Amino acid sequence: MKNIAKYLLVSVVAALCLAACSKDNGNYTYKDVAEFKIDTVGMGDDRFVIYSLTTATTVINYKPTVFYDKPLDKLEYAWVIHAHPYTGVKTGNTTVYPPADTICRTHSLNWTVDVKVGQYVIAMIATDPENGRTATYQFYTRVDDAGRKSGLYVLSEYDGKTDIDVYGSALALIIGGDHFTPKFYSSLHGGEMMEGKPRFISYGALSTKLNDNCYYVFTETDGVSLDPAGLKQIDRFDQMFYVPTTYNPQALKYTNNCNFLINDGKLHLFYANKTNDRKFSAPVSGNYNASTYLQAQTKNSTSTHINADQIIFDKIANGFRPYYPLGASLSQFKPTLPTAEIDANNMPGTVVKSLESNGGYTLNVMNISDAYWLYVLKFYARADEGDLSFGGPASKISLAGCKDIDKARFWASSNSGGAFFYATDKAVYSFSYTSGQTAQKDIWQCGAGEEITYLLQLGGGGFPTAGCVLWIAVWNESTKTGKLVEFEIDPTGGGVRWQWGAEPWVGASTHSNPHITEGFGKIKSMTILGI
Amino acid sequence: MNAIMKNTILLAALGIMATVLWGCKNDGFYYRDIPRIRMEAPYIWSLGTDSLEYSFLTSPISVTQYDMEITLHIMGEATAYDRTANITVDQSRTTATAQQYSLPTTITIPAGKYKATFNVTIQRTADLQTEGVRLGIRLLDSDDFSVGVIEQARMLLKWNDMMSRPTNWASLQEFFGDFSLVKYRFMINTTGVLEFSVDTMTWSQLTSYKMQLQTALAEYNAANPLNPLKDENNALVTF
Repeated sequence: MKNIAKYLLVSVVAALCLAACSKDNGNYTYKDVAEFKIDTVGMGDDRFVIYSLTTATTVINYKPTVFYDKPLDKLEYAWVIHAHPYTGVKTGNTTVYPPADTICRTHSLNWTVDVKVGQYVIAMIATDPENGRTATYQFYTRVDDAGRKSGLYVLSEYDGKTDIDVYGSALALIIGGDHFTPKFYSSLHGGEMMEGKPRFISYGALSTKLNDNCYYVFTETDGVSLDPAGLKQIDRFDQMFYVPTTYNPQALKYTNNCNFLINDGKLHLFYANKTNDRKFSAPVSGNYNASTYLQAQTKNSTSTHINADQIIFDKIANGFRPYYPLGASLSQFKPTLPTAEIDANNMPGTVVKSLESNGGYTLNVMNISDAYWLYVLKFYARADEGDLSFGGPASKISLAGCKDIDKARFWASSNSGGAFFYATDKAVYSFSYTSGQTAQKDIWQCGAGEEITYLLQLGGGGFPTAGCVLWIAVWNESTKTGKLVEFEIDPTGGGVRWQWGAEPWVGASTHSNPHITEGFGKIKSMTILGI
Repeated sequence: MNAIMKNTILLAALGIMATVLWGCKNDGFYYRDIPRIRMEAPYIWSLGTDSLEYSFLTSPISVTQYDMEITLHIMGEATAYDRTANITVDQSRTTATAQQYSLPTTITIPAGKYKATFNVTIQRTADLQTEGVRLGIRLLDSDDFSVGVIEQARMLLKWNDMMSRPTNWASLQEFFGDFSLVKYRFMINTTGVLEFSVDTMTWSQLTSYKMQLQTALAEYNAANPLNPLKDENNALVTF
């Protein structure tokens, strides 16, 4: 009897334990919670509004999309801003992070920029006051001085004088979306343009320590360096040199922490990462007459590779010569081996144009006994062992099939691909040495009364459209108006395409291809700071 | 002593005091000796001494002579007529050759004037780069003047065109290489700069000078193909 009772008791306890292990659904009513998020997809060009701001600018009607299952006017909104990077301040034994500033409390941002120049994060916070749920979205932004405008700086002639127009395109993220400010320079200088017709514009750096950049602008009569903030003059040409220098600027490029200037066939320079007086040196020593060719990618970190800070083309030697870092004179490459496909020290025939392309390759359009060829050299990321050809017989490509290459006046290329672009007065073409093509590709043809005055291909760096934009400057002499024709192109094949411009990429869906902007003067040169 | 004696002594003392005070009345000091003459050199070269030193090193290569202006001061009153002072070379204190200097032997003190200046012209000859020279001059008695203050009756002029290694050359070696006198003179003559310093010049400026000097040296050697620039140790000058 005792054993039965014992066994019954164990069984009851076991059953109760099993019952206790079964799922307890409680006594609540459950339902799915709606998604709560903030997004900017589909906002198109509006997304660029907040990425680059200037002091005293009023940002209005910037209204990201909020996804929620309640009326959006029932939510509470806050826009806050803090410095980037967000660093704490040691207070006593504690690190305290400064509270973010609230700049707006509506769904749509409405704010006049009143913070100092610098980098910031702006965050939008939407809160459901009934249940405390929040959704956030943050933006990185840069606040610059008023008068500093990011964009394609276009040097234009207006009635024999020079002005700077500033242009931006949604196709080129680096220059901040679609915008256009004609005569930007004169608008900052009481309506006064620069004297003389334009020669060219470029950019440089005065000090790497201070991240101190500048524009260099040269007209037919004078040259100046300009502060990007407000385009205030820094120096005139005669103040830019340690020794008196004849005025004949031909090319300028900033690379390897150094500003390189070709003036009157001589190379001048100053290093921005060395103590300097914002002045270019006396001519780099040597017997040479430099062409306008300057290269951006000239060296890498491999110790056995060519370590030049610059490569120039010497018209006296009809060959290329290196300038090694911090030197006082121009150097020579090693003597060319007899087996080399191309003698970089002494090019055969006339070098019509040298172009940098495809990650440090040097393309040379050659006229050899009235036949046009493309001779490809490589100085970047290789050792100098007596043969600077790109690669055997493939270093020489016939351009016999390229229409009007003998009439080409304007050229463009980039390190993003092997294509280069050339233009006569009336038409633009392309050719790529990596595509196997034997004839040009047609890109653009001018209309009646129009002429081409400049070409620029967006430089390398910056996903996704680096190298993928070609700008063609067009002038109509009869109407005295200029325009900018913008294509998305394939930097490898050289053809026109529409890939990155389409959604969901950069969102330049409002553009056609080409995208044409009117209202310029006679464009003679273009540059983008830092590219 | 009775009162009268006291009064007498008092009066006498007052009288003596009055006499003394009257005697102390300011009386002008006038030079009453014979007319004499003395000379002074420019303070910046002589610093108040009776000798002066000058270096052509501070002058561009185009400068081949220098006029050292010396002032004669008379001792005594100016006159209503011109007078003449005499100068001579003191050979016992002179190592300069006659080709290395020139000076007048008589100087006119104009009527009504208390002083007059004259020039001793010193020449920049090539031998001055290795050794300095000196010229001693002294006043002589003339019909109008006797020699005045002995310490200002003579003067020693010393000049050279010599240079020495700058004390800061070690910091300049990065830009200009090993030092030599010939190289340093070439640097000064080419750039016109007398002192190079990493303390007052930026890296860019010193590098620019180096470029300028390399170019100038190449031009010099191209113009003198059989006689490229060599230093005092017969080594080719390089930058």
